[in-house]
Amino acid sequence: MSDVTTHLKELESKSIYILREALNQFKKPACLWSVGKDSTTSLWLARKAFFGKIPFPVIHVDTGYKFPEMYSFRDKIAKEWGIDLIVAENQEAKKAGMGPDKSHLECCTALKTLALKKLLEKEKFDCLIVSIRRDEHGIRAKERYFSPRDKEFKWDYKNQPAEMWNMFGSLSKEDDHMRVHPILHWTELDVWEYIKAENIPVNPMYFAKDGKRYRSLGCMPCTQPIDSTADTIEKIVEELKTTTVAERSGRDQDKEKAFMMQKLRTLGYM
Amino acid sequence: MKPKITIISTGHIDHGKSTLVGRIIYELKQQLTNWGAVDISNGNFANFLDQLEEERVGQMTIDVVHSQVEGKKYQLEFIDAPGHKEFIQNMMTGASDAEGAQLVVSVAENEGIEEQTVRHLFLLKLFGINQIIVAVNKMDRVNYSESRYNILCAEIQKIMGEMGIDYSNIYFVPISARQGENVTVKSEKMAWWQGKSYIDTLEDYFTPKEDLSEKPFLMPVQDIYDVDGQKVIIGKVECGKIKKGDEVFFSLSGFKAKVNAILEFGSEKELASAGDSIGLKIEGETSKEVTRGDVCSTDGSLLPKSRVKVNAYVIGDEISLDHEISVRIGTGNSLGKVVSIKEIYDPAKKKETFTSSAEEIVRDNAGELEIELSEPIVGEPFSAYPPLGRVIISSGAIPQAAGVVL
Repeated sequence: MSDVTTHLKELESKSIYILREALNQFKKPACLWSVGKDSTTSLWLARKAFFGKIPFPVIHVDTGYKFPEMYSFRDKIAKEWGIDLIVAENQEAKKAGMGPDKSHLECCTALKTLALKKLLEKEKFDCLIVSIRRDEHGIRAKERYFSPRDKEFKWDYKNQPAEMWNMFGSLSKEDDHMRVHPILHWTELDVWEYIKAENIPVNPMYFAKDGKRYRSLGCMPCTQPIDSTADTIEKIVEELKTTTVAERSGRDQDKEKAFMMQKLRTLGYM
Repeated sequence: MKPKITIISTGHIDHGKSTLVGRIIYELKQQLTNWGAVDISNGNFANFLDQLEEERVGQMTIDVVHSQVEGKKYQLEFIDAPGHKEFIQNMMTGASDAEGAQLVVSVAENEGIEEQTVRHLFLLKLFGINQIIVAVNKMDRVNYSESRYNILCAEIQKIMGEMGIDYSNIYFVPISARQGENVTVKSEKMAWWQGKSYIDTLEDYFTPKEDLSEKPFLMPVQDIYDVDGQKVIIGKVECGKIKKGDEVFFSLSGFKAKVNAILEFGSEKELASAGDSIGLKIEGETSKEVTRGDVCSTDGSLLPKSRVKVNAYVIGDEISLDHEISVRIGTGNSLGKVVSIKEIYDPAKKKETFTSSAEEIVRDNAGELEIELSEPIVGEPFSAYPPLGRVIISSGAIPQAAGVVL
């Protein structure tokens, strides 16, 4: 095996182990799917872990401001992979006028975090599988593989329980649900190398058109494409090996002010 | 792609752990692309790692952070751990993921060997991390003095000797992380230093994770799935290899059976080896009896135990005799109670605190515990079978102590 193959195999095997732990340890797990490359990779890993059939519901938090290509990609993959898809929306907030003209802290919290919170209150999921990665953001680099959240979704980052070896934690009485992060240890480059090796379908918006491509997908008004000529997976892999631009540079909510991601995540943002 | 080495950064608070990792990232990669711009104008390289507002304002790392840089030989993943006693559980979280450790000790006046220097060394030894490199930091504060460097190295070696750590294989390198002396490039200010730069020494000395595929086969059972109407035993191979037709033993259920198929999604494999997450179909009906916590191996000698002796370090509430605890080893889990507590001490103050036996063991103390389990667990001495020798003791959901089976 080449070094890349060995490396990807190691990452995959650990992720599969984590997903299987999630299914074993929790009564009612669910997986978040933003329809982006990372969570699509996690769903692919879940298909491998569970021999073809994803055994839990998959949640798409829909702000209503996503790109049309994201909805079509979502519906196509959900059908092909036999996904039990739940769309979470905060209708009330939208009716009350919440939208991207408000601050990111307000809008992301209302349309993403609160939408998810309402769904969890209704469905009582005790485990949410979330595809964040350490190398995406310094705050996410502080996460555990299993990370408990209380009813208010608060991430108590100053007092995280110890997590040692491959023996992950369980929920205490004060906790509402566990966030499980199966690809926490992957880098952006790892994800693309894996997509290439496994031929995983991805949203066409990641590929360059007219000198621009999306590197990270979010809501339409708050996501900008980057300058790029990478119109194939091979070219994306090459681009990432030399880039000095941040993955989430096209995502407005990271830039508004210092420690924004910390504030969003403390309130339960993914 | 270069092989990866994961390194935990340890040492007392303010001795420069985050500054060293930040400096390495800065010099080898120029910037951590994804983590945004960082103000390093005052030599605050720690800001690369300390991403929480409280960490920057308080100038103190609170929780571990993982960062990767590309070295000459290896992909280096640094786990920056906090150096404050209060956050020792976070240091242990990081250490459990690492193959090597860097111990940062400041040579500056009134610093040197301090409480967490010793405590972290103890925990590295407990967790079996024996690739250690010592960064003697803040050489700029002693005018890059060779004799001050030598004095501190001798003191650290003395402590290591007392703790039973073989320091003949431990490398020491003088640096100034803040000034960037001898970190990735040899320093002109320390002409007396015959060795290489810090990062070159580290890359020469550290080796990646041991290849466990040549050891005897061992797979803790994680779960049992029903795949197309057939029972499949699920697990991650910890050591060795397994192929179709091999005979395997199940320690807990006491079965012996032949492997009929090794499953991965969409295909059957002829062979699986250490690190692979797989499914096994075994001959006959025996798989019905196999449960999570069982251990599948080619070694018939691994037996379940209803009593284990462990060497543990307490990170949470005190653990008392007869108090109900939960014990986790591999995928095995059981309630239990501590029946004896011996050889207790605070690793940072061993001589003053040593007690030969007691009714309880408190936070930040280490000791030898004998535990009676309500359900048998397959646990083996850490020295012989590391995957079956790591223990987590919890009360409720929260880990209160961690250690190894004796």
